[in-house]
Amino acid sequence: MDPTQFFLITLFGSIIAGGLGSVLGLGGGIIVIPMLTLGLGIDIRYAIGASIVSVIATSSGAAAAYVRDRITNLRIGMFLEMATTTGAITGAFIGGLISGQVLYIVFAVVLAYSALAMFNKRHGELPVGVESHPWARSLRLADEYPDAVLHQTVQYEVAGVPLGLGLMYIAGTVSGLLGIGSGSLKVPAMDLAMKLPMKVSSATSNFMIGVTAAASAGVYFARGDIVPLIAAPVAMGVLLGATVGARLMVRLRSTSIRRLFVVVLVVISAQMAAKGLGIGVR
Amino acid sequence: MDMGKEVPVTIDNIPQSHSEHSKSEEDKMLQMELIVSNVLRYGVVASFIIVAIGAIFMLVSLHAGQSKFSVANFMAAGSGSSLVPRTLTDVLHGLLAGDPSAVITLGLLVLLATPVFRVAVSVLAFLLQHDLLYVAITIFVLTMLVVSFLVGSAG
Repeated sequence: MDPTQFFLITLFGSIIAGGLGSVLGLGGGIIVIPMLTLGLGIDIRYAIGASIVSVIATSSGAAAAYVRDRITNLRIGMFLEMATTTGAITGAFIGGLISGQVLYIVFAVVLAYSALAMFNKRHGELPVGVESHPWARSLRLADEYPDAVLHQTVQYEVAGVPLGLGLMYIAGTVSGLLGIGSGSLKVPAMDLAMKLPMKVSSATSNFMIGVTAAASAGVYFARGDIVPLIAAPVAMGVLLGATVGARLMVRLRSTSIRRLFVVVLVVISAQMAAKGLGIGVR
Repeated sequence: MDMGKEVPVTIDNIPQSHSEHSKSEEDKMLQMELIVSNVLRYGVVASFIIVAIGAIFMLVSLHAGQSKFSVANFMAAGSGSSLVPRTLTDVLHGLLAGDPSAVITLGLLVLLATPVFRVAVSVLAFLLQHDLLYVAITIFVLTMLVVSFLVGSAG
């Protein structure tokens, strides 16, 4: 294939990946990996290396806007990252011990469950009647954010902190094992278990996935899985898409974001199930 | 069905700033967040420019038939990864040789470093706020990141 053609296709696909990822708190792998493997015939290991680049690009590309707009909850993110980074290292260690196919199936089931649970919440714009967990008070996690669509400052509490911590550990381990997917577990964990507002979950996940991916990036780089010819258009496209996406996200209603997220979760779940069952991707 | 004006129950109970932070703490947090935001923005822009320059030169050299890379190298496992810069010395040698793939890799490394820098800057920011609890939490995260790099380069 002509390299410039390859470059441009990957660039445009990555812009979309960055845009979608930054709105939802995901890293863009859902688009980047199939685009490279199914669309362009690239081997999966280089696609995963490119996905790591995509996650960090989405995270850092959007983060400037979210931090400035005061939507990211840095305390929650940093506290939960204690669990996620520990999980990522665990994942790297136990890498050989678990069958990849079993992992994909389990992941697919968990995502399907999350999709269903979030679907059931699709009408609610903001969380109602949430009581802060005692840990949330000691850690000063509760906060507020300006919602540009509702034209109000939304104050929120933080529930389920121990559960959130546990889920983040698992998300980190999965991410360390598969090289992908932590955002798709983080956002539901914050939305369902910790009962945060949707935009806060998305923006905080956006911050966290970058840190989690950085914990895996060293391994993939040393293995030679981050290929300049492939990772360059991915990085450039995702950065562009994420910068635009972050500005877009603040103008969307939480219900819209949640519904879009449910659709994406179903797609990722199907992708993971297919991989676990050995269909299609390879 | 649009639920319209759903409002969190807590609003009625709280007389002033809900987030349990005083006004001066809020200001310091905002300052810190702006610093973090700027660090990220500069890192991202720098990365983009370096990668773009490397990419343009790489495409030019590919079309002139002068590069060892081709898309085909990466369509089957094994043959391609030896062509990829994999250590910092690889990158350095590549830069000195004027290899565009090393320029791209340099830009990617800047990008991959941005989350790490973000965490490091946060340590300082929490320190400035005298928030020792979060200094400890953030140092823990930073330590885990460093451990992961060591595990990565050993494995």
